[in-house]
Amino acid sequence: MKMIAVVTGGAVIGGDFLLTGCKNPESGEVSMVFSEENIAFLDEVAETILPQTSTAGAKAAGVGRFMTVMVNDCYTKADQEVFHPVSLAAPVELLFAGRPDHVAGDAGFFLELADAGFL
Amino acid sequence: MADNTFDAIVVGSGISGGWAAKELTEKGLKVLMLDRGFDIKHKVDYADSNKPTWEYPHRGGRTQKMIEEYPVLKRDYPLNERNLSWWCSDQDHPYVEKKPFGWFRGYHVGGRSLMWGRQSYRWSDLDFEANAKEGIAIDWPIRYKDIAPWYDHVETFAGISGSLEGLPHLPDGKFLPPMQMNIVEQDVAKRIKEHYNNQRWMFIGRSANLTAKIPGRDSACQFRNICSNGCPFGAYFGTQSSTLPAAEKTGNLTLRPWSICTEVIYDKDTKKAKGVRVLDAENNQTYEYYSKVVFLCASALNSAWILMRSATNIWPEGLGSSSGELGRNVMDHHLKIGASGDVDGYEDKYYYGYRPNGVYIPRYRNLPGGEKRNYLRGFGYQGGASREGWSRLVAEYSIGAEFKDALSEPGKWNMGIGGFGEMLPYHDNKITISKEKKDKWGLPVLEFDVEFKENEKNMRIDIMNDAKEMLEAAGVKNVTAYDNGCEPGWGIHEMGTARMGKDQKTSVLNSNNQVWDCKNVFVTDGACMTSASCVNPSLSYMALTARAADFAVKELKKQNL
Repeated sequence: MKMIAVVTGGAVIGGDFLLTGCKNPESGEVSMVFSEENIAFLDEVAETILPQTSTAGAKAAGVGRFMTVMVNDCYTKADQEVFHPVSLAAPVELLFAGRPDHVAGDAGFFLELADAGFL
Repeated sequence: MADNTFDAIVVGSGISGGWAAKELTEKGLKVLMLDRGFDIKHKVDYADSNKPTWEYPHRGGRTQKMIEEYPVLKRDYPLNERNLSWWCSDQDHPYVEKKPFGWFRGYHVGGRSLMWGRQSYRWSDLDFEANAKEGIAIDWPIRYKDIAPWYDHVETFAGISGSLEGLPHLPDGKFLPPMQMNIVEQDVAKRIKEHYNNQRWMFIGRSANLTAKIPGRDSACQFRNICSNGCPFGAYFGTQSSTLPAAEKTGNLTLRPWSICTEVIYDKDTKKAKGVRVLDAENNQTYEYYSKVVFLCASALNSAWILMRSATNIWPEGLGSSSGELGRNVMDHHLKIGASGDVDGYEDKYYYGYRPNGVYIPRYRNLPGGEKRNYLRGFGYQGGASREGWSRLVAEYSIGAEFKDALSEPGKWNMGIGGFGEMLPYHDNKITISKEKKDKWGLPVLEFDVEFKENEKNMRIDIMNDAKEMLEAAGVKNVTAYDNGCEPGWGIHEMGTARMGKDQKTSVLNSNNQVWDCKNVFVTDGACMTSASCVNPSLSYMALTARAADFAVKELKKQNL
C-alpha cells in the first residue's frame, strides 16, 4: 500500500501529549495530527473488526479515538509515520471488500499493519 | 526526651525498616523511622487499587514520554502506567553505570514492600554453608538453627501461604493454607516428579498473601492479582498493611517522610554513633536526630551509601570500611530465562480468579550427593499455567461477529517457567560514590561496577535447557526456550554491600548485624547478605531484622550499647 499524505486539521487527541514531531501541513508532509475525520474512519475500521452484535461494537466503545491516543502517545515517531498514511489509505469498504471472516494470506490492510509492527 | 532524641532510629521504611520499627517499638523503645520519600497512607493513598485495565489511558502500558523519562525503569516491567509514581524518578535519582546495572527503586514510605513479588522462602544450611564448603568469599557467621525461630516469628506475623514439602534445602515454615495449583499445573507437577524419580519438585509458590484472616489484618486475599497497586484488603504483607500499624499501635513510633539520611553521626570518643544527619527532601534543611541505636534499612545499596559517607574523618572510605569490604560483593539474582509451551486438552477446565502467585520448582542442581555441574550453586523456577486470552486472536487478522464471539472464549492452555539463579559474591563487583555526578539534592550518587561472571553464565545454559527438557517431559507441546539476557539489578534483589562475617578483617557486620567498627549501628537489609542463595531474599531480611532488633534491645538492657 502506497504511503500518501493524510488530511490535516481537527482536534488533537490526547492534548497532554502534543507531538513535538508534528510536521507543517502546508509543506505537504505527513501530518501527525488526527482529525475528527480520521477518528471516524478508524471507528469504521474497528467496527468492521468488532461489530455491534448483542453487545456493543468498537465504535460505541470509542475505539477510533482510543487508537489515536495509543498512536500519539505510545508509538515511536517512525511507527506513527507509518500508521498515519495507512490509517487513511482507502475507504473502509475497500479495505474489507470481499473478505471472509478469516483473511487468507493476501496482502491487505491487516498485513500492512502487521508488517508495520502494529499487530 | 527532646523531640530530636529517640531510643532508636530506623533509616528506611521498606520490608526491613518496617520490621525494625515494629520489633523495637513493641519492645518499648521510642523509635524514629525515616523515609527519604513521600508518605503513602494505607488504603487512603492507593488510588488505583480498584482500577480496571480499561480505565488507564494507555491500558496500563508505557508511552514514549515515559520511555524517555525513565531510561533505567524502561529496561524491565516496572515501567508501566499502573503504579509509576511508586517507582522513583530516574531523573531525580541518577547513578553512574561503569557496567550496566538496572536499579529499580521505590522512594516512599513502605518502599518496595508495596510493589514486591511476595514470594517468601526460607534459606537452609545448603545456603549458609556454601561459601565455607566451596571456599567462596567468606563463611556466614550464622547457620539455619540461628535464624529458624525468627523465620517462625516473621512468617506467623506476615502471613505466608504455602504447602509443606519436607525438603531439607527449602525448609517448611509456619504457613497459612496453600493456594491451589490449577489442573494443568497439578498434572505437570505429577509428571515432573515421576519423570525425575522424585528428585525434582513443583508446588505452589510460598507467597505473602493471606489465604486466611489473621490477627491485625482485615481480610484474606481476594485473588485480584493487582497487589502492586496497594491492596484495599490489606491482604499481602507490606509495611503499610502489617508492620507500620503494629508499630503505631504501641504509641512509640514517630514516622518522618521526606527525610534523606545523609550520614550516621559518629562519636570518635565513645566509638559509637550518636544519631543521624537528615536532609529534608522538601525544604533542603539539614536536621540531626539522636539515638542509642541506629538501624540502617535503606535498601542494600543505599545503606552502604550512608555508611560510605559516615565517619570519613576516621575511615576515609566510611563507617564499616576497615575490612575493605564495604560496597563490595554486590549480588542480585539472574533471570529472564526459561521456557514455555502449549498444553493440549483441558478445554473444559478453568481456574478461580486471578491468583497472585505461581508455581515454584526449587533448586535441584548441585545438591549434596548429586551430580556436580560445571558451576557452583543452583537455581529455582517460578511459573504457571493459564489459558490464553483474547489477544491470541489479534494475529489471526480476522473480522466480524464470529470473530468477536471467539474473542470472548478462553484460548488453549500455556505453561511457562522462568529461572532465578544464584549469583556468587565477587570482591570486585562493587559500588562506590561518584566524584562527579550528583542527584537533585546535590548529593553524590553511586557508581556501579558490577557484572555477572563465568559461574552465572554457565548456570544459565542449564537453566534454559532444563526448563525445556522438564516441560517436554511433562507433556507440554511446542516448547520454546529463551534467554532474554539479564543485567545485574533486574532481580531487584540487591545484596551483599555490607556483609556479615565471623572476622572483622573480612566483613562489615558481625553475626548480629552490628557494624564491627561501631556496635550501635545495625544493618539488616540486603546489604548484610554474605551470599545470595537462589530463593527470593525478603523473608530472610525480615527474620534477620527481627533477630537483630531482639539482640539490640537485650544489649541496651545490659548497657552494652
